Amino acid sequence: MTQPTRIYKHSSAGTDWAALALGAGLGLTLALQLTTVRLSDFNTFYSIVVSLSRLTALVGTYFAVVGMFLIARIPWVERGVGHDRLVTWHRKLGPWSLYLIGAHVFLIIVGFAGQDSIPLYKELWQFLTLYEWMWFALAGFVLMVLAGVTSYKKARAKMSYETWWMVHVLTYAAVAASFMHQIVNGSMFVGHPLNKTYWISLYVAMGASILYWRFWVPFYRSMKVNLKVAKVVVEGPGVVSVIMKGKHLDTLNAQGGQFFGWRFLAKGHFLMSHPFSLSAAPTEKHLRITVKDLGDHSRSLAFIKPGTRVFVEGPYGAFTAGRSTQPHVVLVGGGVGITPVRALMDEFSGGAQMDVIFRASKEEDLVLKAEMDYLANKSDGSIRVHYLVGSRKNHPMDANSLKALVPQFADSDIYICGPEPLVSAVRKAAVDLGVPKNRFHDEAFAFHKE
Amino acid sequence: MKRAYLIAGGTVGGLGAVLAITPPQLSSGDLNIAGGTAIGSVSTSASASSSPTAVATQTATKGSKPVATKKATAAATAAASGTAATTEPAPQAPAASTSAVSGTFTGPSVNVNYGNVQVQITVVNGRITDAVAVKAPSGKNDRYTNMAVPTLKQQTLAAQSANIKGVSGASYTSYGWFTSLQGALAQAGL
Repeated sequence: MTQPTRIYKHSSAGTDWAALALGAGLGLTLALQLTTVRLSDFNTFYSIVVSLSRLTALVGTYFAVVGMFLIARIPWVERGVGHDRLVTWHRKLGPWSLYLIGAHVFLIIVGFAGQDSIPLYKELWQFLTLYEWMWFALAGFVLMVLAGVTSYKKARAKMSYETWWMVHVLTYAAVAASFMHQIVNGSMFVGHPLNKTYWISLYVAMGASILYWRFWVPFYRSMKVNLKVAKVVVEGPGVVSVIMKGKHLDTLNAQGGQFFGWRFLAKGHFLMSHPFSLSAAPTEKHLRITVKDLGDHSRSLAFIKPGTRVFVEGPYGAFTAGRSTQPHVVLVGGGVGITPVRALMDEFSGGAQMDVIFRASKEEDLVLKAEMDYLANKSDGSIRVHYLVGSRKNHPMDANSLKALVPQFADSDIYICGPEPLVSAVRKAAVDLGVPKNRFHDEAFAFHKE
Repeated sequence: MKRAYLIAGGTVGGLGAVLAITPPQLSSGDLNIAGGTAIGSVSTSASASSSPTAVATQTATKGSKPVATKKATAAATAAASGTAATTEPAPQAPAASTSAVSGTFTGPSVNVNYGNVQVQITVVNGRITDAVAVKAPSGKNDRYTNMAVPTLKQQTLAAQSANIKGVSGASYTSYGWFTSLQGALAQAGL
């Protein structure tokens, strides 16, 4: 279980290129309108309204397409940015896409109604009946609004994960449904073949990426590695480890610190893809996750039968040993965030001096403690583990206390995974102690909650 | 922060590159102007209808209000400012007021999404006596044509210019008629 795998050195060049490409795409999208405007688009109030509606449509749609690219699970994007950050960006971009497209719908009805001098509802009806593909566009818009409304924090909190997920997935349908009305009615596309080509290519690239990396690759790899539950081990009260056995696991290219989406093909489980971190570095034949009792689904993992097939999506996550630059690393895990930290211990073993800080509120939350003690004991001093149990008052995790605990803190690579308050506190401490950004690696666990 | 700059830079770069290759054609229509009229070669001073002194017999001088619906507003301003062209004060007027034009004039074929519209006008002694669509969307889209063309013709004859309102519900066809009509008028020197 403690065989360290290759450490992939990480370069940020890929993400930089992606950012540039994103910007270029936005520039091209804006150019679609700017190269096809006419003076008449600005000479009356309503024509300006209509021009504005076109602009908001273009930018809103571009944001939606980019949002889809972000979660298409493109490997170099995942590796470069990290899944948690991608999801955060997706969450931030989504609402803007909806607002802009909503503005587009409103403005164009108002604009055309004004130019035609007819009431809004009549204009809406004209849209639906006179132009092609408008019913589909309307359907797409409704689906998008639904997805947006259900993702609103307060609404989301009130529904189950499955319900939210089903509605959200309909965004695919929304994007597909509204595509045709853009190409067929958009003034920047009609009679402008180059513009059409660009727009169609954008959609095709997005669709292909999703079909390939979001759906096909996970399916294909899962079939190839043939993963099955080998053993379920109770680690402590409410905590179990699930050990899975498969073949050709090296083809997954997984590293400790990363996580997968695990789909157990058993009754009541196959609709869900649980994001759990590996709790040990992968070996040739085995993968391990350690799961705490967080909800209905997690709890019932304790009763998963050995032999159950498992489908995997991933590996995801930029929380890897390959990002370190110093010979000394400080690994901080809070609560269930200790799992990737434990896996990183395997990766760094023999390669770096480690100080592992396990922060928990109660003694019984110290999951995998026995294992970590064992690793520390036989490490000849290269691994030191510190257990900080208690309330935030006892362990403020600020610059002073961390420096006292680990004198070389400022010269180390810091890895932290845990709840947001802990990550924020340690981040602030790192900043205070002068740790440069590229030596601070964090993974947010918030989205892992179901 | 670096990424933000990269995104911003990419946007500006992409936009700039495209605009450099295909700058926007702000004037409306791709009209071939026969005769010395300024219509179609209007630069950007759309609103500057300065010299009402110009004969401006047919083309509108009262603030370019009416105009066909939706996209057709372009042509109107071009028509209006044709009289107030940037350089010459009273451009095409001289020709029109003195000689009486007669003949048939065909405007350009304008693509309007569903098909093409091309207008041909018959002018007798400076008066438009007929206007027909030699090209109009047909097939499944002939409902717009059938609905709109008779009205468009009527409006044209009534206005004796391109100062027509267009037909609601047939905005593309109206726009095509309008643009093509302009071209035909320009050729006629009206």
